Amino acid sequence: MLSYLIEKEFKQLFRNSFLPRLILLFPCMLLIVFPWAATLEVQDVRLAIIDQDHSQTSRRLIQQIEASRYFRFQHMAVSYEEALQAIEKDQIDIILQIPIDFEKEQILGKPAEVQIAANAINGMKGNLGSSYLAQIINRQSDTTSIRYLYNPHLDYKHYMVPALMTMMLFLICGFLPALNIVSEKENGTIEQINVTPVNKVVFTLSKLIPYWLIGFFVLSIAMLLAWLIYGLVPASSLSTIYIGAGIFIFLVSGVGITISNYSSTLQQAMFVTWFFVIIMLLMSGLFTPVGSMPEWAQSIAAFNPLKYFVEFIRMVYLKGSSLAEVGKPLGCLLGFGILFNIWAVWSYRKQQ
Amino acid sequence: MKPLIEVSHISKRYQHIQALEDVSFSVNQGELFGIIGPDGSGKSTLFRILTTLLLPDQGQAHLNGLDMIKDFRKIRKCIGYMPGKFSLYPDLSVEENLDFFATVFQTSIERNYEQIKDIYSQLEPFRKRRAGALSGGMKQKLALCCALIHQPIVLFLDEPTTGVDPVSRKEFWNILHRLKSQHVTILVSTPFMDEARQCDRIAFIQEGRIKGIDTPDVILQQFHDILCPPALQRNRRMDTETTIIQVKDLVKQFGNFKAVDHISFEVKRGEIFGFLGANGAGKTTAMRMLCGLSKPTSGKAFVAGYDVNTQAEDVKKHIGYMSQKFSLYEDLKVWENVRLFAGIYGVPASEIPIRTDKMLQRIGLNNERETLVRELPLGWKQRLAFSVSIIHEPELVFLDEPTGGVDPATRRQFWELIYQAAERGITIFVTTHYMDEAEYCDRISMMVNGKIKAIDTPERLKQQYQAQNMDEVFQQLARGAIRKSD
Repeated sequence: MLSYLIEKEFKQLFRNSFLPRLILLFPCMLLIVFPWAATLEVQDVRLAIIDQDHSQTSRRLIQQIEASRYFRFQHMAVSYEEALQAIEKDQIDIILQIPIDFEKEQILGKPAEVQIAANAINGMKGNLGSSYLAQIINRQSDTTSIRYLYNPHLDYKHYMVPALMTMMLFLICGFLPALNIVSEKENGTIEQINVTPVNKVVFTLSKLIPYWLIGFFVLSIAMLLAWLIYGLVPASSLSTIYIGAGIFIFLVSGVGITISNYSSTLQQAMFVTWFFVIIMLLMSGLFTPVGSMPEWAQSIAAFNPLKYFVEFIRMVYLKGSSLAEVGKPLGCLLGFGILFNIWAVWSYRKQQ
Repeated sequence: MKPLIEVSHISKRYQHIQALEDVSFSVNQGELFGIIGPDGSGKSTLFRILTTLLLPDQGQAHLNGLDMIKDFRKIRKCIGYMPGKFSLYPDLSVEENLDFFATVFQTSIERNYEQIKDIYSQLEPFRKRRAGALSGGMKQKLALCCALIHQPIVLFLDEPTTGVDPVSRKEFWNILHRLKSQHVTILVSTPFMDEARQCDRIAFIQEGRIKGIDTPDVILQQFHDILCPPALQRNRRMDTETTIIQVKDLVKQFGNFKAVDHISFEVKRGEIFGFLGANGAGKTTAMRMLCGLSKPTSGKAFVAGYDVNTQAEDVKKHIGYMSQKFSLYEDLKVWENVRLFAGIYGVPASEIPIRTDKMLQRIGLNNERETLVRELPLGWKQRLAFSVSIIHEPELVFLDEPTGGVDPATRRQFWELIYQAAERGITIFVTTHYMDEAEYCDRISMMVNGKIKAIDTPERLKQQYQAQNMDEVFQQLARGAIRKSD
């Protein structure tokens, strides 16, 4: 019985003029375009320098800053006021003031002090820009060294690629089954199925299994692209990733089917699904680290299944964690998955 | 006198299908002009061209001296159009719908109240109700009001009474006659021959060509085979001993509203049982309960020996069901649909191709096995849906208005299939709005306001109500008893 239903799902899928293309196009778009666009890396910070010291040391510092790829040296101001005006006109982002006696203090072994003023309207640029700047300055005097583990070149793309894979799986395997079931409702075909002996579990499985396979398929494409374009290969074994993805697809399809069971029109299903997608994405740590959210938001995020998958996939992709090490997020995912799928079966009404 | 509408040599082609070919006719001012023909013969295409929604490939048409193509804006102002499917907004109330259409034509309900008074007075008690919650007959009256609100000189009605019960249909046609007496010109298509008879002239159209235009009597005589096929004969083979459906005090309540109000009846094995009633009388609700699609509020029903309250899934294994809304998968091919449902019902894999062949042979769709169901004409789809619903040879099949919107010959072919199934011992439980089909049943019940008002053989009912045909029986039972809630 199940095999006939699955066969039907695939025939319908391939006969659709749009969906197969979407399923191919989606991972390509997401991996080719977005890692470049969705970057938090700051470049081209416009900088004004007020050098009051005019010393050997200060000039060396300026040269070092100029050599950095993060900064674009905008102009040499005479006074702080002049520089401030430039900030107001949005000509520069950061002012660096090197005081008189900068060199002298250094030679005397006192900590060298410079003043950094950043335009924080674009908080990210101001914040990161000034910390990059601080690093360059500290290098002169200090001996602190930072080593970035797991993503040695601090390549933001490496950080985003696994996250984008999550988003892709979420959208394809969550949305499509929901829309699929609701369109069966709208066409009236679901009634014909309801009047047959097909039971709830079989029906739900017949909607779930195709998306499992589709999910694995797009994930494989995405991993291939990540390797070809960014040279990023998973640090853990592929099997770990597929096991985790399998559990994740099981979960999101369950969520999609549950939503569709409560929706009577496509409009409604779309709207509700979107609502959850946005909340879950924003609270998953996909863009912003969960750790830096306020306490209350963190406790809400603990109920967000997506958070565990983002955690999982970054751990296995970048850090190379083994299956045992990712036991906790996987366990949580599986728990949520079972919960939602039981709900999906329970909320599917063959009889009104 | 110059005719009001003149159509000359119109052709229209959709990719592979020639929808209309060289169609010419003219309609006079104040005429009630019928367009009849089998499903897919091009009627709707013709309507859409005449209402300036579609451009013809060739040919010209003039309305009141205005060119269909060049002066389409002017034409749109002086015509009213009721498309085949409901054109109302189901989420707006009756009044809001009417208001909307009035505003679109830059007029108001008040200004044109005279025009719609007759019809609207019947709707006024429900003006706050959502249009989606109206019964079929009421919806059509409202749609007609909406098409009339801007005082058009011509009305185009594309199958306005499909799916509407006989009483409401009669009322609808009374309205049309009143409009005609007010000199409104009306073009109407219909699958009902009693309606065709009421037109001044009818055009019979088949495969995109007009085969004849004349008075109804002449046309119905000329195309007798298609329009008035001889009644079916059947040797009754009824096992009156055993009961297959037993219903006792069945109730379905939605809020305060009793859709099905304590009905009790029995159906014998091998019977063709007609389940009649006006729109909104509760037929579909009752049928859905018997199929296990809907849970009864109270009462008992046994279908094929299983209790629908507690053994709905067992019921489903032993019945077939064909819903009102055509519900095969349109994006699957003919054979794929058959295979899917045969598989679901547990027909052994090795037997599926054999049964598919036999079935397609029987219904004459063997050449269409690779066709997408979407591309089949409605009458063929209905035959396929019926055959699919009995692919597992159930003891009993439920058919909910299986023949809506097709011509008499196609309906007759459908009933031949029903008879064949009955011969094989399958009990048939069918609802219909066609009273000639009611005569084909062994026994019928009449549902009025959620209750069963009469149940007997057609002959005995006709005797009892001293009626010539089932239509009169229906009118007597249902008239005046149309739900207050309508």
